[in-house]
Amino acid sequence: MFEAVYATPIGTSTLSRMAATASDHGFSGIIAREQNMDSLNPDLQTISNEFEIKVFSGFEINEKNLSTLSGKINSNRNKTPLLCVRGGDAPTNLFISKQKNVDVLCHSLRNENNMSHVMAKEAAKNNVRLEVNLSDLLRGSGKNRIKSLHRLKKQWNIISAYNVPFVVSSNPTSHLELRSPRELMEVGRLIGMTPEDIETGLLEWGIILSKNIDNLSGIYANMGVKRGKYGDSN
Amino acid sequence: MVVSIESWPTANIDKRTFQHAIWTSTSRLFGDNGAATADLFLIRFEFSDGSGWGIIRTPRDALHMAKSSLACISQINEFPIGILIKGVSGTIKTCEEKYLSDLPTSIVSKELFFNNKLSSCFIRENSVDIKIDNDFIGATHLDVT
Repeated sequence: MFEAVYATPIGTSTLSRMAATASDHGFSGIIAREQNMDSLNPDLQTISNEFEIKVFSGFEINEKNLSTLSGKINSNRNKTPLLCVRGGDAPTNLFISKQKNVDVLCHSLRNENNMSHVMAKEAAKNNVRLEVNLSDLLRGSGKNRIKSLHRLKKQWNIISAYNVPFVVSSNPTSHLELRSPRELMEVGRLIGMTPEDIETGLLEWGIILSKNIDNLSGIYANMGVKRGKYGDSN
Repeated sequence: MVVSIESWPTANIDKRTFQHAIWTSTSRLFGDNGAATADLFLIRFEFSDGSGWGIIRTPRDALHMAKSSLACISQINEFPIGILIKGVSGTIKTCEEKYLSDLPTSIVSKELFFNNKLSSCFIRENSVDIKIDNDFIGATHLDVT
């Protein structure tokens, strides 16, 4: 199971501290969501060996202008094994869910009524995973948490009704904000998710990574066409 | 139920404040009636230099409420809190034997280089908490020289 984290400079813990804590919490891997391609951590293998956990680096696009966003998605697709795009209002979410090159639509519940069945169907069609973001539930309070709880319940109803692929994350920006998979499974019950649903969502990060790492390695000549000798079934 | 608790080295948390945080988190999630059902009671508690543990009592039927309430404690006395449920057991003695064998070691304070700047660091095994102005950055021995 994987967790997608915000390490320094976005967060307040370095990637190695996140990896050490995630390893203690029982995660098999972590992904650093970077918002700047220049800040990618070059020592992923060292961290991975030191704390016995898989460590990857992904890219998160935060762009409001839809035409610029489209360009950024296409230009970054082949540079990273995980491409997340921050959602926002309903038109932005719908636009992102139509992009086949996007892996995850994250932070899609910023406003009311920005999760619709139309968007869910598009996301399912284009295999764009919706992020079930438990951060407000874990760290929010008062009115904001009540609203967030309502939106998450609505989001989960739509995801389960239309079989939309999804990922689960607690969006930690510090090692102190990390919660173990078992704890997330219990918190997931509050929005109607079973422990198996949470496990599926945490495992999905790993599935995305393995698929994209294969694609980036160049073993596929085209969609579904693997490079190799004629008659070589392997 | 045994929980390990982590925060920044300057965090000041005692048994009373942690018990209060548990009750507040439970009643916010499940209401006063739910908090009474979960009946979370802090039996033992140790915390110093930003690390500690606690043994919490709860009825078996309310375990799922207890786990989600504890996971939702994010701050105490304005200090961010990391919580990990180490395990659940029927008796206090078994809890201590099974889950309290690896107690946190003491903290060492040193001046080390982080991002080419000399900063005051609090070191516990591989973990290094770096004080920059009034904030902390969580790091490990790989990040400092």
